[in-house]
Amino acid sequence: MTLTEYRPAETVPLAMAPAVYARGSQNILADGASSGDHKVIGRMWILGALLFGLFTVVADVLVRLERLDTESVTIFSNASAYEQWFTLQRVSIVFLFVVPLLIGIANVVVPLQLGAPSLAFPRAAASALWTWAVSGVMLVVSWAIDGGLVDRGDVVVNAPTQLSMVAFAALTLSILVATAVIVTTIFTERSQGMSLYNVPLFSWSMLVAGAIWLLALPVLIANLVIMWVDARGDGFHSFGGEDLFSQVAWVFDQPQVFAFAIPVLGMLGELIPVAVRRRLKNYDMAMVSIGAFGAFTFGAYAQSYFNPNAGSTWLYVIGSVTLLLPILAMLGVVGLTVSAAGRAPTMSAHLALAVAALLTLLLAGAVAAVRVLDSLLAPVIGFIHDAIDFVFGADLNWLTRFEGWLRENFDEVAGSSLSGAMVQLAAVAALLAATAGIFYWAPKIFGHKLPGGLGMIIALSLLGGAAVTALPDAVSGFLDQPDFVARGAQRDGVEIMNLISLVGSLGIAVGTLALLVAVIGSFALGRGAADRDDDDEDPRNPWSGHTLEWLTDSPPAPGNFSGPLVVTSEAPLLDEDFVNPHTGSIAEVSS
Amino acid sequence: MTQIGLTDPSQMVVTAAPAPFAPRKRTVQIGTALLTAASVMYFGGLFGVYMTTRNRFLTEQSALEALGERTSTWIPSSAQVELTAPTIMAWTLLMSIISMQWAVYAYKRDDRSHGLLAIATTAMFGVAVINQVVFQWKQLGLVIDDTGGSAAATLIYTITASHVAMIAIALIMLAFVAFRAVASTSTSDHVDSVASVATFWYAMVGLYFIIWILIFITK
Repeated sequence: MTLTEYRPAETVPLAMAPAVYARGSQNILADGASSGDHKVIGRMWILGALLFGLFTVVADVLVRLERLDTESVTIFSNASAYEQWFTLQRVSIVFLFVVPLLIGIANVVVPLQLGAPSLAFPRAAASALWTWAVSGVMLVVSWAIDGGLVDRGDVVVNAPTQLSMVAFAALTLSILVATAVIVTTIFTERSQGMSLYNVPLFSWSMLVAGAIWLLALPVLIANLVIMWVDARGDGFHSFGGEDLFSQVAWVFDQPQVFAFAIPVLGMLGELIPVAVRRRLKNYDMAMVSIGAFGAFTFGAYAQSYFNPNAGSTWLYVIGSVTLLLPILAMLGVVGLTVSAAGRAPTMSAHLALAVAALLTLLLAGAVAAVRVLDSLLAPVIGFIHDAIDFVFGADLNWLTRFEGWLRENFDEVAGSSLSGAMVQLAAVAALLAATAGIFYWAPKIFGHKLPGGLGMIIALSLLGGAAVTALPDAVSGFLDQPDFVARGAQRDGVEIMNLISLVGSLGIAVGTLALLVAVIGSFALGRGAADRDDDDEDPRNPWSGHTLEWLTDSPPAPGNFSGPLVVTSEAPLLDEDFVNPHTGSIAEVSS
Repeated sequence: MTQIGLTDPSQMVVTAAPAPFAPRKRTVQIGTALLTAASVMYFGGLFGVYMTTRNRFLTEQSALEALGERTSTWIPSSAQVELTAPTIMAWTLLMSIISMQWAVYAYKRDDRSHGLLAIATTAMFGVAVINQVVFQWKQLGLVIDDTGGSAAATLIYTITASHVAMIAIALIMLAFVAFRAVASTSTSDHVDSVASVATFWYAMVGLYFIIWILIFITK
C-alpha cells in the first residue's frame, strides 16, 4: 500500500507563502521575458512556434502556387528565389514550427507529469527559448536578403548565405539545449516511486525523441560548421558552393525526419486510456514501441551527399521499412485497451487530433517504404529467380522483367517530390500530435479548455490537408517532378497534381491559422465560453486524466504541487491507495 | 478555474508552505553528460565527413594514377605536418586527466587548497594545449584556397578549431567550479559540479586522441 506522510494542505493568504509564490503573472510578454517558470517558458515556445508556423504555411502555399506552372517561374523573381523559399519552408516547418511546438508543450507538461516543481535547469530553458527566437528571426531575415542554402554555383558564398549557416546552427543549438533540459528533467525530477517504467507516455516519448535529437542534431551542426568554414575560402569550395542544401538534406529525409514525429505515439498512448477510462493494456509494450520507433529514426549516418551509397545500405533500407512496425505495435496496444474497456472512447477534439496524427504518420511510413521498394525487393526477386533457375532449371522471365520494372520506376524517386510528400506527412503528423497536446493540456497551459468544435475543424483541416497535399506529390514523384529544384523535365499530369496539392496546402494553412486563433484567443481573453462544458466538472481534471498533472490547479501555481508525491504506477490517479496531497483523500478518479 | 492574467495578489490563495522536495540527484552530472554526448556526436559528424571525403579523394587519385595522370596528395605536399607538437599535446592532455581526477578527489575530501591547485594545474595544461595548437596551425602552412582540390585544409581547420573551442568551454567550466568552491563554505558541496566538468574534460581528451590518430598519424 502506498502512503504519503504529507499532511493535507491548508489554504493561507498569499502574504504567508514563500517568496517564490508571491509573483503573479502580469502578461505573457513581460512575464516571458524574465521568467524561469516552466509554464511561462512553454507558453512562449508555443506562441513563437505558431507565429513562425503561420509564416511556414504561407511559404508552402507560395511554393505550390509557383509549381502550378512548371514551364516558367511566375511567382518568384527567378529559379534561385523559388529554391530559397522552398528550402526555407523545409527548414522552418521542422525547426521553427513543429519541434518548437513540441518543446513548448513538453516544457509545460513534463514537470507536471513527473510531479516536479520545475524544469531541471530553468535558466538554461529560458536562454534556449530566447536563442531560438533570435536565431529564428535571423534565419528568416538571412534568407530574405538573398541568403539561404541554395545553388550558389562556383561564385563566392555571399554574406547572407553565411549568416543563414550561422543562424541555422544557433537555432539547432538552442533546440539541443531545450531538449537537454527536458531529458535531464525526466531523469532527475521524477516523483518518489516513479521509475522510468512508470513515466507517463508523453514524457517517455519526449525522452526518446530527446535522446535521438541529442545524438543526431549535433551532426547537423557539424555539417553547418564545415559548410561555413568552406565558405570562408575566397572562391574555392571543397564541397561545392552549388550544393549547400544537399549537405544538410539528410535531416529532412528518411529516417531522420521521423524523429520529429516520435511524440505522436506518446500522445496516442496518453489519450486513449483517458478516453476509455481505464489503464493502458501492455504499457511495457507501448514503451518498447516508442523506443524502437525512436531507434529506427536515427539518420545521421544516411548522408547521401558525402556517401552516395547511403540510401542503398541495408541499415537504411531495412530501417525505412521497419519504421512501420512500432507504429503498428502501438496501434495494437491501443486496440487492446479499447477492446478490454468494452466501451467506445469518449470522443473529444484532442482524441480526434491524436488519431489523425497516427493516421498521418502511418501514411508517411508507407511512403517511406515505397521509396526503398526497389532496394528492398529487387535483390530478393533476383535471388528467387536465380534460386528457381538453379533448382528447377526454369528461367522465369516475368520475374526478371518485374525486377527491371522496379528498378526503372523506383530508382529515381528518392530525389523526387515523393520525398517532399513524406516530409510533409511526417511534419503534419507531429503538428497534429502537438495540437492534440495543446487541446488536451489547455487547462494546464492556458487555464481553461479550448473550444472542442474548433479542434475538430483543425483535425479535419490538417489531416485532409496533409493527405491532399502529399498524395499528389507522391504521384508527381513518379512523373519525374524533382523535390525542390525548379528545373527538370517533368511528364504530363504534374501540373494537375500540383493544383490538387495546393488545395491541400491551403487546408493545412487553415488548420494552422485556426490553431493560432485558438491560442491567441486564450492569451487575450483568458476564460472563454468553452471554459467548462459541465458544471460538475472538476476544473483541475476536466478530462478525468490519470496522471499527476491533473492534481494541480488550472493553470498550476508557481511550484506546481504543494509537496512531494509518492506514486507506484504509471496512472497514479487510478491507484486506490494514492493519496492526493491537496485534499488528503484517495484518488478521485477510479476505473 | 484560475485565469492566466491574474493581477490581484490579495485574491490569490496558495497552499501552505510546501514541504521540501527531495534533493535533486545528480542533475548537473546528467545535464553535463548529455552535453558531452552531444559534443561527441558533433565530432562524430566531423570525423565521418573527414574519413568519407578522404577516402573518396584517395580513390579518385588511385584511379588517376592508374591512367597515368598527375595526382596530388590528401594533405598538400606544401604543408608541413610535423608529429612533434601533436604528440606533446597528447602527453599534456594525458597529464591533465590525472590533475582533473585529483581535483575530484580533493573536492570529495573537502580539501579546498588541493582542489583549487588541481583545477589550476588542469587549466594550465588546457591553455598549454591551445598554445600548441596555434603553433601547429602556423607550422602547417595550409591554405583553404590552395589545396589542389583537396578538402583537407577545410576539414583539418574545422576539426582542430572545434576541439580548441571544446577546451575553451571546459576551461570556462573549470573557472566556474573553482569560483564556486572559493565562494562556498564547503568545497565538498560541489563534488557534483567538478565531477561533471571531469566527464566533459575526459571526453575532450578522448576526442583529441582520435584527432591525433586520424589527422596527424594517418595523415
